[in-house]
Amino acid sequence: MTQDLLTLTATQALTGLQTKQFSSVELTQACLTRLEARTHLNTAITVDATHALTMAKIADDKRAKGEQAPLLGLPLGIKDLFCTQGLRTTAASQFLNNFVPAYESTVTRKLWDSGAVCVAKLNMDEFAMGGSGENSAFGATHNPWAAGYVPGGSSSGSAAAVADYQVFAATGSDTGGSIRQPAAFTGLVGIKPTYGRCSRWGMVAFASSLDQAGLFARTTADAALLLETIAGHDPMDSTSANLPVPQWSSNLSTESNVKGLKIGLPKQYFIAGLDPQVAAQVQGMAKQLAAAGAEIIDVDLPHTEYAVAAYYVFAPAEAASNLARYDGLRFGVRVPGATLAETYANSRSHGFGPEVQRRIMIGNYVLSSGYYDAYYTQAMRVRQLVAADFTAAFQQVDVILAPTAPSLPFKLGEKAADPVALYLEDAFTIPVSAAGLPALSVPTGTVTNAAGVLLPVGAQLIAPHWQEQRLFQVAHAWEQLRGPFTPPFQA
Amino acid sequence: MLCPTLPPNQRQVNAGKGAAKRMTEHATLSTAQLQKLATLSRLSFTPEALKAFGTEFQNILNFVTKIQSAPTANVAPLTSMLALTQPEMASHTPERPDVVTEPNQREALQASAPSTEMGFFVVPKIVE
Repeated sequence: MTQDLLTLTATQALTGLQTKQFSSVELTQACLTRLEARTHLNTAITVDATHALTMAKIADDKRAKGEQAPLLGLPLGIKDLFCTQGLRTTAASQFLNNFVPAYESTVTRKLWDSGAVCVAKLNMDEFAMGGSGENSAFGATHNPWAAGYVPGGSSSGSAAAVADYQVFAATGSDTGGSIRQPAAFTGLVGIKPTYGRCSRWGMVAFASSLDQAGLFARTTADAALLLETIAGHDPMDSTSANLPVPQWSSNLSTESNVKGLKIGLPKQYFIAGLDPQVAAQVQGMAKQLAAAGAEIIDVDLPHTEYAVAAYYVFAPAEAASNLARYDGLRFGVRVPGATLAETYANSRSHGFGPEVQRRIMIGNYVLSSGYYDAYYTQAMRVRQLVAADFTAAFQQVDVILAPTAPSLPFKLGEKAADPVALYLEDAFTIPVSAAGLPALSVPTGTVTNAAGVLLPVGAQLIAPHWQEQRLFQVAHAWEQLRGPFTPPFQA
Repeated sequence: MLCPTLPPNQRQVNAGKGAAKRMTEHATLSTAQLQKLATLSRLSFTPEALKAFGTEFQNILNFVTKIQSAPTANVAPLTSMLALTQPEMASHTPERPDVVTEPNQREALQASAPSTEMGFFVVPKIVE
């Protein structure tokens, strides 16, 4: 019975709640029991069962009174960089080990206002810096497909918790691929909407010109439904767009057709270094979409090769500035020193992990006097070129199809010793982030790696600004062509 | 080219003033330079940790130097995401009215503070 509940999609779970087949308390308890039984995957940083069950009971009471809300009673997981009022929020950093926010992020407030239930605050790379989930002060998260393999990152716990049926969906944040890559590595749908679609208010900041909230779900329909809830203008974030939020989920059934749609395949994404099995999966998907009536067109994104290098200039520059606020005086850890400067340094070196310290150093270096133009300004020129590549491509095509990540999920520790090797994992997601475009990763299928381990592969769909509907349309159509796909349920 | 270019009067500003150094001029960082950077970043490293870190740091710098070969002559730096996503807003970022919206939350805000006394943050002495 529990497995039957947990393997429902979010949309099915909401239907079941609506038709009183089960209660939110039952669903939430099933999630809590699953989390408890699967702690070896290390998906969660904080679980407050009492809080979760209280929220579930309130949802059930509201439903009993005939009240309606889009997500009433649906148990969700929250990446631990969304501030939750009264519930510890760590960003997976030792620095924020005891930080309990006095306010709620806009994204989570919208979820609770829609009736959703908070089951857990989920593990991640510290301050969202990483692509494997290994940079967490709370330990690495394992991929539910294969223990000992990374689930991707930085939204590692969100991906693993949804793929392991611990929650029905989860929030994530994506700065350079932190939703799309872990979605690909765990066989999920992951959506990073257009920069400015969701408010960043109350999200622990990494690189503010790139950070964007998004979601993990097991189907495109679930992702579309949840994005409707968290999107929209917020006066507290001046970059959040004052645009209407389309009803993406209700448009799916009528618009999920790819006939006549122009889909671009960027040749710069099918290069040496791309795993041949990943390439074959994405090319196979393109063929099936073509057979369904889409027109596949080769497109050119000529400055792709510079994007990762530029990102590792401007993203650390923003990170170094954003993380200057962690001084150990008003919140977080404090390790006293003989002077004020020593107190700052002691607190920060104690509180931040190695990758965070690395990026602060890089960021301050590229912003320092004399080097600013050579590094930072030059990187922002490259960013302009990368964005212009997409503008040109979208004059030819409606949507771009590419691999989400160049490799299959790899083993924990495999790339930990070489930061640059790990940075290249984001080669196909970073250009999209640099341009602020919406993108979605959808599972293509499974392959077996050299060690004989069955692993999922994801393809990335990229659309022009504000055209999330096209992503959902193509992904939903692809799901019909591909057939059912779900991560295995491990008892 | 579809991307914005610099107006003629701003072109080649990097060549003037002598401020911009080329990356190739500082291909390797000395321990003293790394230590200065750590001090400015308000981070402390043991000498051994700084040495190990220096190698990684150097690898990253070598990697990002690739941007120097990008064809960026007369390309304007992308300084605002709004220019891409909401061009009509790019010249004037929206502002909120300057009115009080939150109640006093001193106790809640200080609940996560490392040290407080009588409603104040206790900080290290900085005046002798």
